[in-house]
Amino acid sequence: MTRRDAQQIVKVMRRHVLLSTATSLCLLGVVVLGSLAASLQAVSPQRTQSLWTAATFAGMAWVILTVLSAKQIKSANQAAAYLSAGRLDLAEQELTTALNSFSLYRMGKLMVCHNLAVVVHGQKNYQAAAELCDGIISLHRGVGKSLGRVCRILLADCRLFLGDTLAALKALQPLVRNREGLSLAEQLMLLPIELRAQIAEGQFAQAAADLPAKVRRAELLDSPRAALVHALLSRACRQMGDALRADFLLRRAQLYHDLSDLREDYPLLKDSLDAAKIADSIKG
Amino acid sequence: MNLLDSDAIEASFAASQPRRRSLFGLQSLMMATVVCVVFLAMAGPRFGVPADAGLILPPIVIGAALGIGHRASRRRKACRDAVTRAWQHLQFDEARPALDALGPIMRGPITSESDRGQAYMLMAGAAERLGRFDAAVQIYETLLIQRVGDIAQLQEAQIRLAAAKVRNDELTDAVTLIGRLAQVPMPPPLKAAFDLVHLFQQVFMGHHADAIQHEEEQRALFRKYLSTKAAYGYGLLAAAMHYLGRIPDASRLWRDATTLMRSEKLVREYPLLAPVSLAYPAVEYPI
Repeated sequence: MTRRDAQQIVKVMRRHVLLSTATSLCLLGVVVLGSLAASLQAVSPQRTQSLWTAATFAGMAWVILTVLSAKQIKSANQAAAYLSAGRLDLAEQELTTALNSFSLYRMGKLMVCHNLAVVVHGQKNYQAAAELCDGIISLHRGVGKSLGRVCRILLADCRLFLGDTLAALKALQPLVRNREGLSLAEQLMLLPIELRAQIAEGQFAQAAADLPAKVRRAELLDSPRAALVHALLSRACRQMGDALRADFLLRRAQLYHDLSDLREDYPLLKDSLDAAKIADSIKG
Repeated sequence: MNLLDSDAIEASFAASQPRRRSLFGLQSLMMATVVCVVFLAMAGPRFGVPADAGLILPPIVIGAALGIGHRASRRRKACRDAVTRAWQHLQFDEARPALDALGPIMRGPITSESDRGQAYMLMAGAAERLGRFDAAVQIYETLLIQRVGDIAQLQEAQIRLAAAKVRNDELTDAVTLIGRLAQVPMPPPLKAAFDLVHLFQQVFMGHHADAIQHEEEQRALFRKYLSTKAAYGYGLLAAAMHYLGRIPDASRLWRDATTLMRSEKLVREYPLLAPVSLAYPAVEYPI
């Protein structure tokens, strides 16, 4: 998927969301007005009957469209199965098809788009993933607050990989301002990405602040991400002149994962690796 | 009644069972709503239906159906929220608050099998942290007998049942179960969890030479998939080395274990590591 494809998907999604909102409002209007007018018997009995029939058919249309919209959830589940089997290409295909079909519910559409962004991010196609995340954030207003938060974290990750640290920090700003509102799972997602952004921007004091809490959370991450967070914290401590903590954190990072494996994806770790090599040579 | 008492566990499994009858009832109600609305809208006074009934009844029936649907979705959300809260507490070893979060949802049916399975896995985890291994064994066994949860949860339950049985001194059962699980192909993360349980059983029963037979492979597997919990594996390997008299190896492994996790926590989780913690210095935490 190219950046242009992603922009096109967002454009289509925006149009669908607008259409679904108009359809929902229209159906709701017919149901409410029809029922009210019929109940209050404000018009002739014949019209009352027609209004009631219209309201009934609008209600039925709503049910049918809801059932059709549920297909998107099925697609999202199917895509998740493809993802767990490592078939990113099939997951992408399934989700792209689902996004092009009509859904009455904005939330379902945004969920599918989010899953697609995750797949595209997994393919290391950060430009396209960032476009999709941007699209979701601009459309999510009000509904699915958790989805919006996760998308912001994903967007920041993409921006970091694209070398745009300021945009990453900007994407994270609303989350950092309301840290207490984040669930533990979201905090765990945020930690390595926020640290990367801070280190890249040279905000070492902020990165090393509240160290015990950060280490405690890092311990809950999977091995590669735990190693990454420890290495980043180690670098922040070293920059702050705290060599004791920096060495300890680096030792822990090496126990979690081979730092040389992470270096390809995170050039920020170069300094930590150099420090590790020096420490090894001193030991040797 | 304590949530971890045997009778309470049994009662909770019975109460949280999704009711097929209520699901059937809900489907019937939805169907009846559609039929009623269409019939009343189409029929009118021609079929002897009073005109007022045609106007008043459908909104009431639709309102009732929407109300029931709304209640069901709220209940499901409450279950998910409670499971999430319990998971968060358990991540920080807060077993009591985790049980408090789970208590209310266990008293009624949990419609999603996956949520139900996860809730009981968390409850068993809390029981283990409180040292109630009998309760944990009962929960895992009931999960497996009633096949609650998805396949991954059931596989994990088997592995955790084996560990709980070792701790609960049901060694014969534990060895049989571990022997059976050793024959089952597993994805690597589960294999790492299983290897840890197997290692624990071997060290617990004094089979130290067997325990270190695949040390290198096990270390790599623990490191890759167990993250911080790899410290338990290193600690148990250190114990095996210690009893075999391989002091430098034991010291090295204990150093790795205590770099990842404080020695007090290692000993609290595996009391058999107490002699090792006395024999070798732990790494000091500057944080």
